[in-house]
Amino acid sequence: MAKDKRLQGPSVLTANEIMTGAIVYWTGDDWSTDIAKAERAGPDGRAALEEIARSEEDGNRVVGAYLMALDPATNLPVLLRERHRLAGPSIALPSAA
Amino acid sequence: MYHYDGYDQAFVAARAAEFRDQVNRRLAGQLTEDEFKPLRLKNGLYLQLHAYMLRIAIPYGTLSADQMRTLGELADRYDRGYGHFTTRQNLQFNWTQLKDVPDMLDILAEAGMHAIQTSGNCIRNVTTDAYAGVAGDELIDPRPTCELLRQWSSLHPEFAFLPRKFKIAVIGAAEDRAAMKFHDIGLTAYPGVDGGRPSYDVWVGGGQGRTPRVAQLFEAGVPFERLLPTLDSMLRVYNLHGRRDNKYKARIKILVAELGLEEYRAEVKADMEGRDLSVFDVAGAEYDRIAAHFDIADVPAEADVRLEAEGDFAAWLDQNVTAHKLPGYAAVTVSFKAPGAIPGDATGEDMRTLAALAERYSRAELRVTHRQNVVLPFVRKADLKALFAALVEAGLATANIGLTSDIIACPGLDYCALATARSIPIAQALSAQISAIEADARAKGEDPSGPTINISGCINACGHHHAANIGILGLNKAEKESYQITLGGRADENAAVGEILGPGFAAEEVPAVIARIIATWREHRTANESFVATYERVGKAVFKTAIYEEPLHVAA
Ligand code: SF4
Repeated sequence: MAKDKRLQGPSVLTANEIMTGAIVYWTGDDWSTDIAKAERAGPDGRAALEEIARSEEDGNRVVGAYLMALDPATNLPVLLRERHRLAGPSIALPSAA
Repeated sequence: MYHYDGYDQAFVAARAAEFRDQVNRRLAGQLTEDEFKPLRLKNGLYLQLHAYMLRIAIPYGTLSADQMRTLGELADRYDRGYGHFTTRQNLQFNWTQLKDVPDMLDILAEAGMHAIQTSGNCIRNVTTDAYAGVAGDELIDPRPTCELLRQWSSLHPEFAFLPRKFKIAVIGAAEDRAAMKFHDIGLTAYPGVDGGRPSYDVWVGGGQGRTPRVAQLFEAGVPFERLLPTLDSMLRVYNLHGRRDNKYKARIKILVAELGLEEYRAEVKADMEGRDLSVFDVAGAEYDRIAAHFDIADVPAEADVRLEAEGDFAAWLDQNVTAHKLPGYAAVTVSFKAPGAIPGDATGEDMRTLAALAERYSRAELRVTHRQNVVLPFVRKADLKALFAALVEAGLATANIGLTSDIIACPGLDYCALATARSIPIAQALSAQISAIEADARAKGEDPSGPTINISGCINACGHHHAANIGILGLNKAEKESYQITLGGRADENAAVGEILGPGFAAEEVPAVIARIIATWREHRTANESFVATYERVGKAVFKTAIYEEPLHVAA
C-alpha cells in the first residue's frame, strides 16, 4: 500500500449518511456534508481514521466509509471518480431547467 | 394491459411491508449494512455515487396513465423532480432517501408496481418490443408471455441467488426492436398450434458488458407447454454450473461458450427428463387468463384518415408515428432526446403530462422503450394533430425517433458508482450538433436518417454501446476520461457486436470524431445505403484512415 502514490498525500474520511444517503466527511468529532470542515490525515494519521470508519459503520450512522486521498497541490481528490463524487453531477438537473 | 388481481396486489403489498420492517431494523441498528445490502438490492435500492438510487420495475415497459402519474408524484415528492428511463424499460430515481423508501414502495404497490428484482443476481425485469400488441408487423403479442415469466420468476426460490443477474427479452415480430439477441435468454413468439397459445424460438447466451455476445439458437419451435419447463431447466443448469468464482465469467454466455451449445443443450434435456413437470400444468390456463387482459377486441373501429401535413407536423409524423395493427390508429413515440437534453430523463411534470395525454388519446396506456423514449400506443389518426399540438405545448414534440440524435446514454459518472467516465455530457454535445444537421437536411428535402449512437460510461455497457452503429465507451485512462469508439454494431434481428476503431479520444474530440465518421459514411454510401451496410461493404480500414490520418484540431 505504501507504494501507492495516492496515499502519500493527505486523506479525508468520507462515507454516505445512512438515512439520506448524503455524502459526508469526518470532521474530527462528527460528519459534515462540507469537505472544507473535514479532518485531514497524513500517512501517520490514517490508521486512526480507519478505526473511526469501522466504529461509525458499526454504529450504523454511515455506510461505505473509506479514506479518500487528496492531491496536496490542488486539494482535490486524486481519483477522477472521487472528483465527480465531490462535485456532484456536472450537468444541469432537468428539474432546474 | 395487465391489471393486478387480488393475489398480485397482496403479494406486492406484503413485500412492501416486509421491506418497511427491514428498513426499520436497519435504522434501529439491528441489521448491519452487510446484512441489509442484499435485502435492499432485492428491492431495487442501490447506493450510487451521490445517493441511494431506487430502480422501479416497469414490467415489459407497459404502464397505465395512473401508474405514470404515480411516478411523477414520486419524482416531485421524494426526488428532485425527475426520473430516468433506462435501457431495461425501467425508471430510476437518483436522489432517494432510505427513510422514504418504505412509503414510496407502499405508494407503488397501491398503483400495482414494485421494485422487486430490479437488482441482484436474479431474473430481472423481462423486456419486450415497445410496440408490442400494436405493431403492424406483429405475429403475436409477446406481453402475455412476459407477464407469465414475471409471475414465474418473481421470488422464484431456486433462482434468488444465481451466479449473476439474468435478463430475458421476448419479441413477437420478425423485426427485433428489443435487442433480443443481446439477452441471456431471448424468445421469439409466434402463433402456435394449440388454441392460440404461442410457440417459441429460444435463444441463449447473448449479452453485452465486458464480453459481448450475440445469442445462439437453443431450440426452434418450442410449443407453449414446454416453455416454462425448458426455461426452468435452462436456469437450473446455469445455476449449477455457472461460475461463482469470477463475476466477469459468471453470465450464462460464458457457460455456454465453455461447455459448448451442444453440451449445454444435452444437460438441459437431461434435467427436464428427470423432473416431474406437472407443476407447470397450470401455466396454460394462467396464460389464457393473462392474455385476456391484453385483448384489444373492444377497441372501437376507426375509419382510416389521410392526413394533410407540412412543416414540423409532417416531420413529426415521419419520425415519431408508427404503423398500427388496427386501421385508423397509430402508435406515437414521444422523444426524450431534445437537442442537448439528457437521454431518458423526464420531470415529474413531463410524467403527469404523459399520463393526461394517454388518458385523452391512448386508452390510458403507455410504454417505455429500451431507447429511453415513451410510446402512446393507441392514438386515433384523427387525433394526431391535436396530440402533436399538445406535445408542442409541453415541449415534448422533438421529431427524431430512430434518427442519429435519438442517442441512448447511461447515467455514467454523473450518477453511477461503477462508471469510469461521463456519458451524459457527450450525449448532450452530440445531440445538439447532430440535431442541427438533421434539421438542415430536412429543410433541404434530404433524408435526415443516419447511424445509431449509444453511449456507456463503463464496460458494463448499460448504454448498449456494443449494439450501436456507432458505440461510445467512456473509460478512465490515468484519471482522465477517454472515449473508445466501436463501429458496425446493431441491435436488430441481424444483431452484431461493434468493432473497436482504434485508440480512444478525449471528451472534447468526440464530436469532431463522430462528425468525421458520419462524413466518411456519406462519402462512401451508395444511394439510400444504411450506415451498417456501407460499413460492412467498405470495411473498418476506410473509417480508420479517415479518423486517424489527419489531426482533429480540437481545442482541449
Ligand atoms: S454502463 Fe457503467 S456507468 Fe453506465 S450505468 Fe452501467 S454501470 Fe453505470
